[in-house]
Amino acid sequence: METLKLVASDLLMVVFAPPIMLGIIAKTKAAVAGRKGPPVLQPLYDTIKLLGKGAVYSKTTTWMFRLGPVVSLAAVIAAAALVPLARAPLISFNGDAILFVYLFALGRFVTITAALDTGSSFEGMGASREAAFSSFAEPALILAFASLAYRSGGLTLARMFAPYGGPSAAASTVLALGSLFVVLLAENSRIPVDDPNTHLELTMIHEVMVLDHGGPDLAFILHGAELKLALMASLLVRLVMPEMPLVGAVGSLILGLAATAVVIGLVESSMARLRLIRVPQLLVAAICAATFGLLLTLR
Amino acid sequence: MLTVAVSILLLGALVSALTARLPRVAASVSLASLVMGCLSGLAAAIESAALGGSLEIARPWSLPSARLAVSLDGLSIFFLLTVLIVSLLSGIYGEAYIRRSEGLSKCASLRPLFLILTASMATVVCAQNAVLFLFAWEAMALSSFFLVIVEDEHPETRRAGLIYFICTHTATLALFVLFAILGRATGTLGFEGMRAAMPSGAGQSGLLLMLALIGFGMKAGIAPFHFWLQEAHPASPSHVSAVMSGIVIKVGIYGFLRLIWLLRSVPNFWAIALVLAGAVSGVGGVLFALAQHDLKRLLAYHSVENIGIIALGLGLGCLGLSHHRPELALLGFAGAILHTLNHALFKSLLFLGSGAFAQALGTRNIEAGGGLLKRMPWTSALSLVGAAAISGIPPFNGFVSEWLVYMASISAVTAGEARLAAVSIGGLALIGGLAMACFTKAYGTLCLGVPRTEAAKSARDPGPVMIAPMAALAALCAFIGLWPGPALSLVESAAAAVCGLDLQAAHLALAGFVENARVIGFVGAGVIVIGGLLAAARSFLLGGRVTPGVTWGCGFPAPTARMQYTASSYAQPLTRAFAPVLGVREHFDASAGYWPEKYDFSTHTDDRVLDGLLVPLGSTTVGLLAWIKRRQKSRLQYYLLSVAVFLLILLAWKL
Repeated sequence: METLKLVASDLLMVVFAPPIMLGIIAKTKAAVAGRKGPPVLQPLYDTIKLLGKGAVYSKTTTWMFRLGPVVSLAAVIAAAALVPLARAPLISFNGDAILFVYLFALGRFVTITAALDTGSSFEGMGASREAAFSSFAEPALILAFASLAYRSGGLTLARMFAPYGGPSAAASTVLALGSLFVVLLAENSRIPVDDPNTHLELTMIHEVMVLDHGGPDLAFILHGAELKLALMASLLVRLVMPEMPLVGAVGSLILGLAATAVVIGLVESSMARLRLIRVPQLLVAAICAATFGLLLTLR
Repeated sequence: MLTVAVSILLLGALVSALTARLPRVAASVSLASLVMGCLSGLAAAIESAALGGSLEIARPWSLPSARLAVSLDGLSIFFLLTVLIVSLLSGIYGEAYIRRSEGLSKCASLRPLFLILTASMATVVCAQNAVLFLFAWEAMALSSFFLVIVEDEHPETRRAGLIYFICTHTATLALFVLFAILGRATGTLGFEGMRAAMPSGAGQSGLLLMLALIGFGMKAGIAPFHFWLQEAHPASPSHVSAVMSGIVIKVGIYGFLRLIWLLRSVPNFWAIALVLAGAVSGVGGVLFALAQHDLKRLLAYHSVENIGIIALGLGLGCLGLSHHRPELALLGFAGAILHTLNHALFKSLLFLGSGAFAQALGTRNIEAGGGLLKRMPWTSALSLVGAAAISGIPPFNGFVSEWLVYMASISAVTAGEARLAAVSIGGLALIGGLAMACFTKAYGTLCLGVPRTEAAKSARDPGPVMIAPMAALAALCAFIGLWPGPALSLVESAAAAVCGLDLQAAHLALAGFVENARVIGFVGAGVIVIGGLLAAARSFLLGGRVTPGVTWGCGFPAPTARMQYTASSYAQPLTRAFAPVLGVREHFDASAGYWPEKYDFSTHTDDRVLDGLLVPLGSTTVGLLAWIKRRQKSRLQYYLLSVAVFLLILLAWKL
């Protein structure tokens, strides 16, 4: 029974929570704009519908194009095994935080190569932007991790994101939280870095890289992106939220994820996306915040 | 066994030089001696690794304070294995590469020089005497110089050769001084004796570090002494570039480690200098690589980047030594040593691939490629492994060693050197992202998309003799990434030798990290398994409903290859962001008028140290001296008088 419960909670976190989070973001944005908005489960319906469709592969493409979706989803699933969701992670060791970051890098690598495989100018453009922005986002993420690692005494995600009440905890938590939130927005192509709802290929980043994917491939990509958002959001949630006695670990995580989704929706409703040339500045600010947090912890 | 290996290599060099007029005989002699020499050397290394003890040979030599002494401790075994594996595979590839190239097949000196280079590197990493070390070092420098200028009909090759010649001899000069100082302090030139008699404060002087940075750092390509690398590595034939970028520069790293071993303890400023130099090399190297269009020049700059990562590990190891924290020292050195092997494997793989691409395209410019994954499937697929490994992505080997350096950085935080650790962590993270951007750029432009030139359309894979060595290197990259245990146990004994700890203690200190590295390999395998399951699920879901189509062009019906994104455009957001560092020069000519037809756009990125500092400095100095020379058109008597006055002053001063 206990194992069943654990499997159920993992399945919930990995399969159902990600699309629902995206649904909540859309619903929040609709509410702010005074619309009714699509149902919260719409992303899940979309994924299921895509899984039942066939595929169109460009004649330019090779096996690289088909490798992209499966490896990027596999990398995110492997990263999910390292993240403390509602309970201790499946795999946990000193240094797993670095592996977590680099598994995302693996996913990005294959997504970029799959995009370049189409020979499309638009996808090249998106790939170029993704590569450029992520090389600014990665230091911010790792430096934020480093400050958390220092105060918990090791690069273990489960311990880094456990409740901490040591000296100067508030300052380092706030700074890490700030930089992690910017990285979350950038890595998951949200406003102000990228607009997932844009309809002009020239202005897209992540969406334009997957223009030529369809059917199950697109479903894999979409689910991978949603799962990545949920994983990073659950790290943020674990950083600030205590475990609430009434609803338990799973319940408080779900509540936290929903709250994060609402915050993302509010951010997206309240501002326009930045000009592409300004994005590195935002990310460098995140790097600065993370470094500052690290220095504060070390003091 | 080791002397046998070196003798076979040198004998092969002699015979193949003598039979140069009969290319077939020379080729088979050199190939046979390379294979036999490398295999017997590998056997020697494996035998002494299995025995655990060091195999020693010492013969008298009629040079002052020289002995023909070689010995194999953990460090030497590790570097000997690296040298021989990469030389063997590159040499086999080289045989087929030479045959495919008209200019190279006429060159008589290429094969003997390659054998001499291999033999001299094997000797350098095993030498137990400073004189023998310098002798072999010089043989290595000269043979690699002649290999660089093999294609001396091109002016840029001659320029590269000259720069390399000056740099390598500056390095040798610094090493002469370095070993003279150490020999004076200890009274011997045998390494064991030097280490035993080394005064405890020997490393305190900054002079030693400066000499080591010039001597070993210039050979290794640590910034700011890297500037010969991006000139010399592209100029040589590709299998030589693979050896030079894969292992010749690693001999410099070996020198650093051997020096640290000799000194036994190093002061804190060594650590600071090495970490800072490593961060600058790493970030600078990858940034300059991003701005390149020449594939081999791009790869050469990536060597600077990877040497930077190795230097970070070295610096963290030195930090551990100076703070008397053996675990940190072992971890830092282990990261550096494993990355040395990893870089040797994937960089030589990439250089071998670049040779095949350049032969097929007739140019090293990546913008001339495109769509090669369809036309050269083997070379492209194997190069993909190299590109992923050098970007530090799991499940390949580059990630394991970068992870070790990350772990060493975090341990350094707890050692109280927080700022240094922050530099190292931030640097590594930046390097990781930029390296991926750079390799997706190079790989995407060359191998993906549609061909941009006629040459790319008709490109074909080379024969199996060239493919097999690349496949072996790629297999090693994947093996170390998925199953790092065996490589790490070799690294362990090498790191233990550097720190002067016994193997058992080192094993105990690193056990946790080795175990975690295994878990990383396990997760990597997990990604492959999950990916396989997903692929199977996809083909089940599709059930054959696959329609071929054309790439979406936003409704434009006739896309051409020219509309593809180019490498320069791909790198532009990053080169723009780092423009103050790079100093990219852009040329843009647009013809005027309402219907402009001809546009011309090009970018150039010069090296900051070589073209920005040394060349202007050199020409200024020459100008100054020429000015003095013009002033000096006077009579011989005045010269004689000035000599006499100078002698008188000296005499008076001595009195």
